[in-house]
Amino acid sequence: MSPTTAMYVAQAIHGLAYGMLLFLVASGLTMIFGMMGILNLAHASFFMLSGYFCYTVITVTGNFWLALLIAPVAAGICGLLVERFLLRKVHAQGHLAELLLTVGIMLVILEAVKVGWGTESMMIKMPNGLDGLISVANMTYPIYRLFVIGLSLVVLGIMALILYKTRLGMIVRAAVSDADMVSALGINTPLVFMLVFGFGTWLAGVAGVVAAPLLTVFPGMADQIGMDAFVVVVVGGFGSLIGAFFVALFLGELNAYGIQFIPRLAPVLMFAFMAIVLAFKPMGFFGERE
Amino acid sequence: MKLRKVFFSAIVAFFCLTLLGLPQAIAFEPLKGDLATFDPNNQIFPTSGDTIKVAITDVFTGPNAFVGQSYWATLGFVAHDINTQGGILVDGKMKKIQIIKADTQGKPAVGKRAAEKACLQDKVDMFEGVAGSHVSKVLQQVAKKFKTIYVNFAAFSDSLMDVPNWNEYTFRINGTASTCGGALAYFYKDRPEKKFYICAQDYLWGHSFAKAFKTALKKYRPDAEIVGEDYHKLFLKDFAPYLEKIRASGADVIVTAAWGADNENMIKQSRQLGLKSPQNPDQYIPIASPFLDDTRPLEVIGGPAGRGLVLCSDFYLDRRRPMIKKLADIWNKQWKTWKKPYSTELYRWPGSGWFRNIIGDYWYFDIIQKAGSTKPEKVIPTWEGNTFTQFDLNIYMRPDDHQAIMERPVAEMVFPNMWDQPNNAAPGHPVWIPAKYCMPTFDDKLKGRVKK
Amino acid sequence: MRNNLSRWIYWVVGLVILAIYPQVVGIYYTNVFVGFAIFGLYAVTLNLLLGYMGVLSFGHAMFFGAGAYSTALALTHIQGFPLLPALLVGGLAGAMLALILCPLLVRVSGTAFAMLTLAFGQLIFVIALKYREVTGGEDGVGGYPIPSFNIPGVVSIDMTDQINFYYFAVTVIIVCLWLLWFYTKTPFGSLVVGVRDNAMRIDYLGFKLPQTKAVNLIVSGCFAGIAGAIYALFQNLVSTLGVLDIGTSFAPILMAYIGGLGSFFGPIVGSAILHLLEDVTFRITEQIELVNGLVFILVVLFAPMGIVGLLRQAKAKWFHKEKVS
Repeated sequence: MSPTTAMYVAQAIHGLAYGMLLFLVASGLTMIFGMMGILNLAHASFFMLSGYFCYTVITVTGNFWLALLIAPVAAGICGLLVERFLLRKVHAQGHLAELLLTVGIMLVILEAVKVGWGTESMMIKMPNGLDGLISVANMTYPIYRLFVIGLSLVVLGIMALILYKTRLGMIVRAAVSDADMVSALGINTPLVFMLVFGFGTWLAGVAGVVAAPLLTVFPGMADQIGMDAFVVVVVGGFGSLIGAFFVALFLGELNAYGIQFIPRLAPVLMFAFMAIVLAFKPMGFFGERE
Repeated sequence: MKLRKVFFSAIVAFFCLTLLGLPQAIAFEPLKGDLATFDPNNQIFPTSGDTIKVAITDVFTGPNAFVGQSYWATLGFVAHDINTQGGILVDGKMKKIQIIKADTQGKPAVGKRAAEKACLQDKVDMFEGVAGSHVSKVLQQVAKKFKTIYVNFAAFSDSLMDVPNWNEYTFRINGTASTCGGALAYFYKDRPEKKFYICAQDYLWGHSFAKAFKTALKKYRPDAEIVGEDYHKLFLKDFAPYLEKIRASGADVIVTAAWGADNENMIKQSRQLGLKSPQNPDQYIPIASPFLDDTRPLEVIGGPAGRGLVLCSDFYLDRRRPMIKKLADIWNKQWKTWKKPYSTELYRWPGSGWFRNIIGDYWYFDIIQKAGSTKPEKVIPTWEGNTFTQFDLNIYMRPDDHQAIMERPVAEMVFPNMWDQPNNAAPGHPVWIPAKYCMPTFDDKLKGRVKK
Repeated sequence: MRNNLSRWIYWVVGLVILAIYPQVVGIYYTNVFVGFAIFGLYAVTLNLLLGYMGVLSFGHAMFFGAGAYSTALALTHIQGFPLLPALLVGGLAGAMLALILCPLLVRVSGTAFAMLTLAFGQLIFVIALKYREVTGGEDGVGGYPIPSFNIPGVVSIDMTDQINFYYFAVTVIIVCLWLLWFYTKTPFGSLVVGVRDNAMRIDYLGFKLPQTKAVNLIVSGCFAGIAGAIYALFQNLVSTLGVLDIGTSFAPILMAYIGGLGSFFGPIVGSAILHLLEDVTFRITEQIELVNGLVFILVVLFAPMGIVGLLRQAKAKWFHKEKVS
């Protein structure tokens, strides 16, 4: 492969890696919205929180894999508690109240992180074995980014299995399309809501841990990915996992090739894309309900 | 008769000399105070009575709160040193220093309000800051409006000291885009590297640094080549697409002016992607930046991977100079005793801009001591054309536009290093680039403003 | 009659307080007040959409920013540009932007409206960020001359003087608020509320639904633009972070909610509370976000109708008691 071809191929894989990361964050966001109608602005904060948990676990145990196991669960539990004790109380007041509440939660998490870990950025080492490079046909590529893609696919697979092959998944899907009806059938929807919220934050948590060695863990860690994930959810259609998947991948590639060919306009592309899609399909590509 | 006159004159002259000599006798000297008791978390200032009030106008909240904290530690260090020596004789009284925080949150509008509060309510004698040229612009307006001295420590854009932004209440201690870019270009004058890729942050600072570097490179190294130029958005997370372009361009050096997380991520990800130096294949690609002397990213990438990075800071510690070495040793000894947030590697020498802050503060206090007053009408003429010679430095305050002129250090990272840091590369002994090759830009409209 | 008289007394007392305020509190709090008043007006324009028409604008900063930037650019590039036209340019820019976007915005409501405004708000933000040659990018446009208030042959007032500017800004803002208040009381204003409560019925009654929404949108954009113009004159610096970023879009939503969506003056109260909070918190603690976050959470949990709602409740209770006794 010539260096130029190698560059184009590598850009495609970079785009894929970022897209998959984006999908992990966006999938939780879109599920929560689809089911509960909550625009969870604190979602990316859980992503960041998990990064910090990961840092702590690694400092204590020195093991990345343990961090990958523990940190997302810890973030997920935080999510469960937030849903149970805060969001549920204001559910009756409508979406705007919930929105404002999530802003409040976002600010509190940001401050808690600063009190707990300080404002400096934390560097996290890649786990041994994944920190090398792989060489194929004259092109070198870091193994860790391939691992990110692989892990995201695994999570996606598990998610699809749960959603489409289990009873719980069936209830969740039903609740996404009509929560009232599911509730009328005698299913404890508040419990399902809580679990989905927790699962959504767990997904964001997984993304947080996976991203930690690539990016830097600092209080601004969630800024960009939060906004990007939001765009993914909006363009893909609220509540649509498939939409989120395709749009996340597309935005990942748009970002990589945008930087390659029109670096000056790269940040504009994403929002231009969003504005154009929404102008023609106000509910996003796969969105149906208000 | 004549004899009596001479006698009287002699007595008068003697008294005058004593009066003149008196302040010098009780003048403060840097590092003479009781610094062993300094703790940034636990600073006590005289709050009542007459004090010299200095406000830190910078970010104290949000993700970049460490910026404000760093001033709190460095200005606190200087204030503690001077206060434990008894203070400074100004306006006929020995006065101690009091520090006030004014949070800008990194936003111009908030910064304006914070600085106005400092000037109008706290009645400070001087305020210092600030990260971000856009905030500095606003603070300069405040300084002019309320006739208060403002010392810029951290806004690097050239145009800040041009008409119409310039005013006589504003002084700039730190380097600028032209000084850092000029020094870096001069550093590469006789070196093998000649293909440069510019990858800077997309705002005034990044653009003006790139411009200064390109101009200076053309002058000092005409055969060099800029093989690519990109401007990424601030606080970008994934640099891989940019780094891939850099790899394909065959650049010898990445020139960046990024700071904070951007800088850390770029270094880290360039190592993760395995970008090698074309000039020296067993080394990673050199990245040249004014903001590399932060140990944390260097620790993570590991010592050998940090080798060859180039630091073109505006101030840098040179351990070969005894006074600087003494300062660094005192600081690091104290640093071990501090608690959070000052206990982290960030606050250990050689830290990012800490040295600049300390020098700038000593200089200001030295000036008010020389002027015998904190009043701007006394401070301004004293500072204009003054040369700071302590700490083995030689910094001249250009009288016409209030910018500091000095030789600038450029240092290559070495591993193992001389700073007792076993896990990372750190800057080696710097090459000092003579001041005439790295001058801050000068607006001709200000020429001859001061007659000295 | 008595009610009318007391209302007059309230007005006169209020105006007198506003008139002597800068003399009493000094320049610093005068400037704090101007900042609060600008955001008060801005939040009211948002509430015109949120409270009155029932749609959430997630990118309202684009109108504010359009106003601020056009005023700043007009003053930078046109020499001797006078003061009142500078304000009008801001209002016009806000209105124009609303006019351009309204064909898209009037078709949707609910979440779609919020997302579409978010998309355009962000799009304009990143374009302003990237188009440095005109907007100055992150650094913004600043240092332009602030024109004096000039009536040829009669009076010329220097607007760089903070106290003078206070009187000017407060006058303009009060006039704007009065116009908006008047606007909400017209039959057309009621129509807008009708759109919120039952758009279908308004449609069936023969009113033109999209046109109604469009006019309200343009009015809101226009006055948000004027608020932005005053901001540009006040700060003498307009930068993307501060007039166009998502935080600027969010601030009025928070103000409107905290003050109370149901009332015209709620957002102004909300603006006052947030500005006071900011001023007070930093004197006590550096954890500004924590305090803000907790306040939002507490307001949502315990005062869902906002502070004005809370006061109304209290008043109702009090009057109720009085009747009983």
